[in-house]
Amino acid sequence: MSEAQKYVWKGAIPLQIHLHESEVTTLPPPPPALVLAPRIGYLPLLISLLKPHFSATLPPGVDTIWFEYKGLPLKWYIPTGVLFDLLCMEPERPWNLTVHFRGYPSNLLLPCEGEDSVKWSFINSLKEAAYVITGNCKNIMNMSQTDQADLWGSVLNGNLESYSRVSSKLKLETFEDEYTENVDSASTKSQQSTGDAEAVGQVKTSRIPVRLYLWTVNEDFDDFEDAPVIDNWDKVSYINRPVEIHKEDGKYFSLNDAVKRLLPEYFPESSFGNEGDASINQSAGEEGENSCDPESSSHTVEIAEIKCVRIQGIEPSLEVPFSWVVNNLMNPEYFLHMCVCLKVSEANALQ
Amino acid sequence: MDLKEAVKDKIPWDGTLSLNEFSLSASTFSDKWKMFNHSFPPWLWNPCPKHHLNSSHKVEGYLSLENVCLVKSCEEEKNHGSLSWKEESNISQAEEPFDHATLVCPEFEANHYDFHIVYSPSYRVPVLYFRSYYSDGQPLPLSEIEKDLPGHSAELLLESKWTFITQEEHPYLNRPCVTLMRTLNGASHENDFRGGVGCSIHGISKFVSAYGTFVTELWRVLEGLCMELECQFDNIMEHIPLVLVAAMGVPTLRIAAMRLGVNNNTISNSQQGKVNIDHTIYILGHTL
Repeated sequence: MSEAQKYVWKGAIPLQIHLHESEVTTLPPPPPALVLAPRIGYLPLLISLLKPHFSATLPPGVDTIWFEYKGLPLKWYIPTGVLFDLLCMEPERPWNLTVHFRGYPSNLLLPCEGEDSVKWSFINSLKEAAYVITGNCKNIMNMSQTDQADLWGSVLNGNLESYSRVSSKLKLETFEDEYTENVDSASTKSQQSTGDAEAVGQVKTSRIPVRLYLWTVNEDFDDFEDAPVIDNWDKVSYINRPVEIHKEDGKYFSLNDAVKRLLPEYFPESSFGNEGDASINQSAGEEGENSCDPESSSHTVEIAEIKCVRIQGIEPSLEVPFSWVVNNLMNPEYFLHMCVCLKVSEANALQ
Repeated sequence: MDLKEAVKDKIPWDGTLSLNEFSLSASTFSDKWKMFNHSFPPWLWNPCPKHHLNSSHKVEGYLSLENVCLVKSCEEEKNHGSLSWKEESNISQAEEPFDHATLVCPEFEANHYDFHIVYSPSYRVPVLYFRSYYSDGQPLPLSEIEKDLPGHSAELLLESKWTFITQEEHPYLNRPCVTLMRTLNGASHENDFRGGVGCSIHGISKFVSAYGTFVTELWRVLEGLCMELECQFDNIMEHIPLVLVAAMGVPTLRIAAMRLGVNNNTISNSQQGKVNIDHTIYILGHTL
């Protein structure tokens, strides 16, 4: 494990959690709970800390915990750190959240029945990542009971050592890690399974699991304080699409390249060709142009610009090699979560 | 012509689709559906995201079939075969060939179903998401979905231990839906990595039956197509581009094949290598 991975696992968001006023039955109302929530964890797992704090004041009934930020119910299966990076672009410390134990909004949020639901969601994502990387879920399905317990336990407790031990058995490496000092320095280059002599040495796989949370703005802003607020999940496009890596990409395939490849609708010339299809739907050469008819009057085209990419609370330079980003900043279920803000403006094609 | 013969010459297909293949197949599928399945409303293609000005770039989308009413009549036994699925507008049209039971029982409840077929870039297959709700828009709890389901063939019930429903968020629409997942090797439904949390076995089997009903409706389309093209079911897979999701994989194909009077082995053998049983989500049918 690298230094960067250690930082990621130790990363936490200070939360100030207020019980929703409708559920306060005592006077004076209870003080908010102050909790340090692991970035790679999930909000419902905090119930063990929150329930004791608020139980004296809750009305009678069955508890189904859910959280909201400024009125927006929070999707519990999104890791805490990602929620913070997405919804709190100007970091608020502590992050003020409201907790509910009643009135679960089941038309908006998936049901959550405690740790089991979170574990299930985690496992599902892990299987999906394994499928993306290797083409099947066998390695997950074949885990021993002990390994399963250790893996989930290591995520619950934020224990990177234990996690590394178990996860290395899964053989889900995506890129060879050339850029970071690695505890296990034995070179694995000689164990390249690919028989293709032309394969670029670094790439072991061609698909990288990524979850991208995209929001767009039409105008520039200098400070995140001025950025439009996400008060509705419809303002975020959730893009669950693997990044396809090609042999030609070489080892300098950057974060910038990866983001553009994930968003062919905004960055057409970056898409390297769809999987073996006829190119009937390829966009014309330049970014955003619809046609080259010089006689037509103004065409409006969309020009997109990456305003911000936030991963694990940091904004890496877009020139960082994508392999480094993946190896060091991914979450325990092998997905890289990226919060991306695009500035999209219309312009005349004939400028 | 033997299906095995027929497929030998084709390019081997691993059961996955690209996004463009999905879009094309979806369009063909909805055309065929319209042609052969009059009692159902048509499938609609919904492009997304919707805000792009770049018309030259092909957008993603999904198929939707919404507001399909499951009309419950008081006479219908659970084991009586399928409950009737009706387009809502048909209920008032007297001349439509109707499920007679609804006429007998004037007060019927209707549960509404929205089906969406969405492409999964991770698994490279279409996935079925659906939502069910009461007439007032309130979502149905899973227990109610279970009640909607008719009893079905013993085989489906047997196979049902392999499948369970799970709730997931719709990839585009920010709302909870139900989707099907399959476990490997009949793993138990305990919350371990090999299996998954789901409904009770009983509920699952009934659900799968209903899903079976849905699938058999779709297979009726194929049957109609068989008659139209005057060919055997063996050949049908060659002749029509049809892509659909089924989380039941091979067992469903077997059942549907039995219903169409085709030898079990032909389907399962020829489908080996086409439906990878390691996937948790399957494709039913294939593209040309």
